[in-house]
Amino acid sequence: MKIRPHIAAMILSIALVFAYGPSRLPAQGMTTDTQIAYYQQLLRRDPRNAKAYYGLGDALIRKARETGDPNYFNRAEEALKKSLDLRAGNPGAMRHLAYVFYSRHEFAPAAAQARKAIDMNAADGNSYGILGDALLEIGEYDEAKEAYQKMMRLDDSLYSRSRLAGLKSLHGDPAGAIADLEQALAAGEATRHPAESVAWTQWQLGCEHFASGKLKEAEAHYLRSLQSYPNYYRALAGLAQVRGAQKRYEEAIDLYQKALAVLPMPEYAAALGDIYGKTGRPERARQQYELVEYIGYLNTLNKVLYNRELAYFYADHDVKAQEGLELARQELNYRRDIYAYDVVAWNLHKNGKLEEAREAIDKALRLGTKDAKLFFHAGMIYHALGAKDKAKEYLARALGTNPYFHPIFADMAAQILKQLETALGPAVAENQRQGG
Amino acid sequence: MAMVSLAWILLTAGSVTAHPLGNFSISHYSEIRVGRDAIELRYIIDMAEIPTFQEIQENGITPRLGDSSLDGYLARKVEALRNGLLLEVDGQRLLLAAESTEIIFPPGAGGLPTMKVGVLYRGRLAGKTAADPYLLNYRDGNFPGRAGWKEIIAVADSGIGFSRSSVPATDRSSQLSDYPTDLLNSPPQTLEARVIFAAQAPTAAAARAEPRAATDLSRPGSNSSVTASLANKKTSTPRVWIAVPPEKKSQPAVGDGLIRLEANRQATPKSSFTELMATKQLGVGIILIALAVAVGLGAFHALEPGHGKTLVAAYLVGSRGTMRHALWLGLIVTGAHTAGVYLLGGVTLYASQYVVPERLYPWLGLTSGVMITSLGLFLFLRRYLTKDDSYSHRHDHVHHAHGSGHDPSHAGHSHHRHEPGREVSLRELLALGISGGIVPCPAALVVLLSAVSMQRIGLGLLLIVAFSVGLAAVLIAIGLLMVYARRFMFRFQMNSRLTTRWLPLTSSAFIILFGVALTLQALQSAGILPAQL
Repeated sequence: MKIRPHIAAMILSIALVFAYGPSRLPAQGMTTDTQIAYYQQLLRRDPRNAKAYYGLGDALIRKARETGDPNYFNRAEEALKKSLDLRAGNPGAMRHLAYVFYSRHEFAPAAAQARKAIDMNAADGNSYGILGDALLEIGEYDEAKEAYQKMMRLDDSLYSRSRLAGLKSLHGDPAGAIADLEQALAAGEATRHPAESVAWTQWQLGCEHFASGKLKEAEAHYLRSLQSYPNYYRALAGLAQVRGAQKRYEEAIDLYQKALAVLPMPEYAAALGDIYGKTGRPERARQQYELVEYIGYLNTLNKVLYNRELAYFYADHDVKAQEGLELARQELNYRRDIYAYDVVAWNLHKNGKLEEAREAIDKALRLGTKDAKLFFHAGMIYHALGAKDKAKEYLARALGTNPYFHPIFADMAAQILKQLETALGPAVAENQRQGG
Repeated sequence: MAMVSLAWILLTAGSVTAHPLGNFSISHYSEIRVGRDAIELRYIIDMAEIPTFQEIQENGITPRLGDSSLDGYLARKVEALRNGLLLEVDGQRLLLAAESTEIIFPPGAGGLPTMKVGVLYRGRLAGKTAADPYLLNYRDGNFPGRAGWKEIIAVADSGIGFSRSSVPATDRSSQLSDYPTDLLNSPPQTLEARVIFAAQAPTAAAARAEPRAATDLSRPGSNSSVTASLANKKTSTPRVWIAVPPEKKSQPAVGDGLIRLEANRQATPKSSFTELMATKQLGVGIILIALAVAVGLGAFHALEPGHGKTLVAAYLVGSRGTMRHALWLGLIVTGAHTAGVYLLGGVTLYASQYVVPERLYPWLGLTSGVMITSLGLFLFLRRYLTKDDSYSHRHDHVHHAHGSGHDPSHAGHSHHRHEPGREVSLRELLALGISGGIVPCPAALVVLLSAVSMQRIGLGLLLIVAFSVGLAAVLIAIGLLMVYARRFMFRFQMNSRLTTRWLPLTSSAFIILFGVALTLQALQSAGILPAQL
């Protein structure tokens, strides 16, 4: 009796390995897509793997950020909830869920969820970060600041630094914000954060510089952002804005079109329409404006709580004043940040409700944010109210903060300012300008 | 014109569900069908509400079937889409001609139109495909960066065989008409494909009416041979590939030459729960098979020569063992053996709790591979260097006194065994069983490490239990046989040159190869080695 047990054992074990198919180890590089596929693979083998569901949720959130596709947030929510069903005590999944709510503009649930995550693990800085983000949108600036500071103490990283930067920017300290963002970027590059996170920070730096009227620096940061994450839609649109300010309109149009090809954001379409209008192509401009309304209509169909852009669009283009005001006021129901008051103020102004508009714009300006758009809106409201000094002051501040803030409104601000100055007399105007 | 279409859209708007992939998605689908003298490309674009609106705006079309505004638009679209596609065979770009086109406007959210465009492109190959392998490269560069479902499949027509394909042969979305929406089926993002194909022998071609499915790329089995033959081909005289423009409306050589589109069938969304249940049930079947195989492995393992386990039987023969002793000793050896392997698995599991799995697995795979390789090398060398292996084995089975000879832990016992008539104590049984079983043996280790490299540590542990069950069953059976029929041992000798030398050598060589394969795969997935193709 000749048995070959050893060989038989080997053949059987090899057969066993191949019966399972080849080992599908995570593919090289681990891009977001391969990461998603990897966790799905794990879950196909073991549908009760709570950690894999958590990993899948994390990867889907990153995908949502990269593509701007909100569908991925819904999938991420599903994955994270499954993970929590399987294993309730995962603070990471709780925190990610808070981020999903935040991204869908469900700010109050996001804050509540973040607090739950903090209760489970008070040492997780990221939970404080998301709590702060949600509080910022609700308009609880002091509480938000507190949350960010706690985050910073626990975890000095790209994520905490960039959040502090955002807060400084809102409080009228662009230099501080830029310094924080630079540090955030250094931290992110040192610890090899995901490419999108790095690109986001670079884009944010571009935005800060642009807000201060520094076109060269803004351009450089947007270009770097595009290097970190090619075809990054935020950076494409940012660069388009710079090109518009530089009066390189054809390049601006091309860049806006590229950004829209990745993600049709209504604000990009509106900005592209404005450039078309400025360069004498009203038909093309109208097409873009129609697209903005179409997206707004779809958002209503899909019950998306996200129509601030449409409200701004209506007021900016002097159309559908009543609808714009309604949309803006709806925003206040779940979001009371300074821009919620700004969009209400701007729409009230277009509806001729000037006193209410003045009250609203004061609330928008309460943090001392150095944003040319806010100053311009304030200037226009005071101008309509007949408060010439205030109007002049705000319009001058708008242009002083960023003379390129808008392809149409920057010119308008300069024109009105000039009228006001000539009305007051050149000597007084000169005096005012130096004083302001 | 644009205003008319906008008005039309808003008038016909009803209430239908939104596009399953989001209002602004653009989904791609490519089906590459390789025939003997042509390659067919079935290309479908599915635009959700917002991109459809943009198309309507920019082109001034009316989204209604048969509308005259569509004629020129479709021709331009076919051209524009083709410019974004690259189909190469052996580095030569194929000229694609549109054979058939279709456009439909299924209603989406609120009855707003969505749009599907399908084009059947065809690229003729210069001459008939020969038996040497060809390399097909495909890239879809349309709508870069836009979210959507991006799927490519490749199928071989009769007479053609794929030796490798980077894409599957069946689709998951029924040509973009039925998107799976569960969590485990997130949209594929495939925009490139590589296929190696060749003509098959005519007899084989005739026998196969159905198109052959491509082998999965990630299966490591046949890789090396194909790459090798491809490399050979590259160095030999290059065959000239001339892309010939296809004749207008020529007879379709492959497929039916028509493209048909379907609206999304999302009325019955697939429940993720049933999907999971399905995979779970499938899993149970596979696990049962795996368990049975593991039991068999354990049984074979008990019969392996030169591993000190037959010592159990030998001991019982020489020490007046009873049936109860045989049972105990079998169980103890098995228990110790299982514990040894578990210890290793436990460490692995523990490590995976604290390290991000996706970082850990390539390294675990690598460790497993290296361990298996060195184990194989060690066994091979030991067996090779042991000049007269048969002697020690004869010892093992006949003289029953020295155990496996190589293991010093057994030496202590050998003194007692010549004392006839001595009662077998439980302590002795334990010492013997544990020392004989604790060292993880190659076969069990291979099973466990394979499971680890497949990211199934839990299953690996279960398999070890099954393995041990097989082991115990055979050990106990042998023990019982020994107790009641000592002479059986002599019929069971395996001391011929073949079984004592060549078989162990071959088997350790197998282990080495297996380990090297695992190591290479782990290195690839860790990104250290470039993945070929």
